[in-house]
Amino acid sequence: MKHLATWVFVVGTGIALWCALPDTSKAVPIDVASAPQPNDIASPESIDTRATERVSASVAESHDPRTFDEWIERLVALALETRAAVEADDFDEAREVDERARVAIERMRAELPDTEESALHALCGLMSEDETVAGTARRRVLGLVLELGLRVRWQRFEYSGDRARVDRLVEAMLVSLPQDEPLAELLGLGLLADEPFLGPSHERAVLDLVELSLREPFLARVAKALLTTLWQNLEESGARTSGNLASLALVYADDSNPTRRICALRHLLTSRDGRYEHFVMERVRQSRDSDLAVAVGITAARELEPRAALRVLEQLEPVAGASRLTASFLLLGNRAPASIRTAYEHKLADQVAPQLRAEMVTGFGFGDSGFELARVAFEQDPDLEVKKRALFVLASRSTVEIGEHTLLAAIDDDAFTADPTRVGAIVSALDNLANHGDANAVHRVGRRLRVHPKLMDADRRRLDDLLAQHTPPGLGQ
Amino acid sequence: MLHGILVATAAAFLLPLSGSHDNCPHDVVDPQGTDIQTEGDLNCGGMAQVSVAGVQVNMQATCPALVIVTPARDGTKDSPDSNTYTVPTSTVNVVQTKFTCATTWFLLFPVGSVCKERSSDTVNTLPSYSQFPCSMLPK
Repeated sequence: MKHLATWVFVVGTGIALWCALPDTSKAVPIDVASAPQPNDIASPESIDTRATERVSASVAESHDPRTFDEWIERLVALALETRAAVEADDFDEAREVDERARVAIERMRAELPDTEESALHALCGLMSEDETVAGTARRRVLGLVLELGLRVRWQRFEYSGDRARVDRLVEAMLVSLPQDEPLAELLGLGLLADEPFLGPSHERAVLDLVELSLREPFLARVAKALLTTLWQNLEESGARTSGNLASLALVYADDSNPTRRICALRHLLTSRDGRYEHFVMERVRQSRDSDLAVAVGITAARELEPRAALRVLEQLEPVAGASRLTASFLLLGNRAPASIRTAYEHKLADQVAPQLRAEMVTGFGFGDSGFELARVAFEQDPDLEVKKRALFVLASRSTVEIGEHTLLAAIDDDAFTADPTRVGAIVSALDNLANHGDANAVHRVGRRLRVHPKLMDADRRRLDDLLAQHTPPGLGQ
Repeated sequence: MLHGILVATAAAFLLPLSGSHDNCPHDVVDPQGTDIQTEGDLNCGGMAQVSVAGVQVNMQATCPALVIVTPARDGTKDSPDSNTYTVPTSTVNVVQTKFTCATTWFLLFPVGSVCKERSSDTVNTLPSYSQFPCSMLPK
C-alpha cells in the first residue's frame, strides 16, 4: 500500500511535471537551411528533408506560424475548413484544404524540434469533456502530430538501432496516460496497444499502471492491453525468452490484482503447444469468476487454433454462466465457421451440451457464413433454447420469406410457445425481421402474435410499438 | 376491484406468518446489472491512403468491432427463508451491434464521424422476473 501511495504521488507529480514542462519548440523554430541534406539513400533521416524540399515548393500560407501553438491553431482551422467543405458537399475544396493541411504538418515538423513532445504536452492540457467540433479537431490534430512523431522515431530506431528517443517519448506517454479516460484511450489503446513501441525499459511503468488500475477502474482495460502488448513485444524482440515470461505469468496467475491475473492467464493460454491450458482452466474453475471466464474465452476465440478454442470454451461455459460466452462464439464464428459447424453437428448427433449448441448457432449464424446452420437447428434440434437462437438468426439473416415463414412456424409450435418468455422471444425476432424493411411481413406476423394467449403484457407493449413503427403503406395509424 | 386488491394485499402480509406453503419454491429476484462486452478495436483512422512526409499514419480511434449489450434485468435465485416465488414477466433483448469505419480521405477530418453502426440484431433474449408472496400461489 505504501508503495502504491508513493507511486501515485510519483505519477501525479510526473503528470504535473510533464504537463508543466517548458515547451521548447514554441519559440525556437529551426532554421530550415540547417536541416539534413538529401542523400541517395531513402533513410528515415531523409523523411524530414524531403518534407523540407516539398515545403519550399509549396505555396506558403500567409502569416506563417512560428510557434507550436500557432501551427496547431493553423491545423485546427484547416480541419474545420475541411469539415465545412465536406458538409457543403464541395469535395474538391475539401481535398484542396486537406492537401494544405498535409503540407502544413510537414512544414511544422521541419521547422520545429520535437513536435511530438509538444503535442503530448498540449494533449495533457485539453479539457477531456470538450466535445465541441473545435475541441474534437484539436484532439485529432495533436494526436496525429504525436503519432507521426512516434512513427518517425521508430523508423529511425529500425535504421540506427538506437531506441532511446522512442523510449523517452513512450515513457512520457505512459506517465501522462492516467490523467483521464479519453487521454488513456487515445495514448494507450490508440497509440501503444498492439504496436511495437513498448520495450524493456517500460516494464516498470506498465506494471505501475496495472497497479493503479485497482484505484482507477477506467485504466483497467488500457492496462490489460498494454501489459499484453509489452509481453508480446518482449518475446518477439527476444528481450525475454518465452520461458522467462511464462515463469512470470505463472507467478501472476494467482495475483490478487485482476488485471495482472487476467493478463497472466491469457499469456499462459496462448503459450506454445498449449502446455498451460489445463493449468489455466483449473485456475478459472477454482476462481468461479464469471468475468475471468469471459475474458479467457475471448482470448481463446481470438487466438487459439479453432479446435483448441472450442475445447476451452466448452470448459469455461459452466463458470461463465448463461449467455456470457456469446461474444466469444461470435468472434470464433467469424474466424472459423467450419469448425463451429462440425462441432455443432457432432453435439447435435450426440444430443449433448445444449447451451453450447445454442452459442454455436448464434456464433455461426451472425458471422458471414450464411444461415443454413440455423435452418438445420430450427428444424432438427430438439432443444427449445437452441431453436430460439436459430429463430433470431433466420429472422435477421435469411430472406424475408424464410424469416416470416419461420416466425409463423414458431407461433404455431405449442411446445415452443408453452413458455411465455419464448413468445416474447418471437417479438424480439420480429424486430430483427423488421430490419429487412418489409412492413407487410411484419404486420402479418404481428397480427398472429398479438392474439397469442401466452403473450405477456410487457411484450405486448413492445409488439405494439414495433407495429406502430412499421406500418404498411396505405394502412395508416 | 378495490376489494380484491385489499384481500390480495392482506393475504400477502398475513399468510406467510401462518405457515409456509408446501409448493412454495422460495425464490427471490436477483437484480443483474447491464453487461456490456466490447470486442475488437477497429482501425478507425479511415486513412488508408494517408502518409505524411513518407510516414504512413494509422491513428486509431477506439471504435469497437462489435458490442454486445445485455440490459439490466431481474434474474431469479433460491432463498430458503423467503416465502416468495418468482415468475417471468418480461423479456430483455441481448443485442449485438457491429460497427464499421467509414472511409474518410482527409487528414484532419474530425474523428467522431468515422465509427459507424453497421448492423444491430437481437441475438438472444433473457427473462426478467417479478417476485410474489407464496400466499398467492394456488394451493
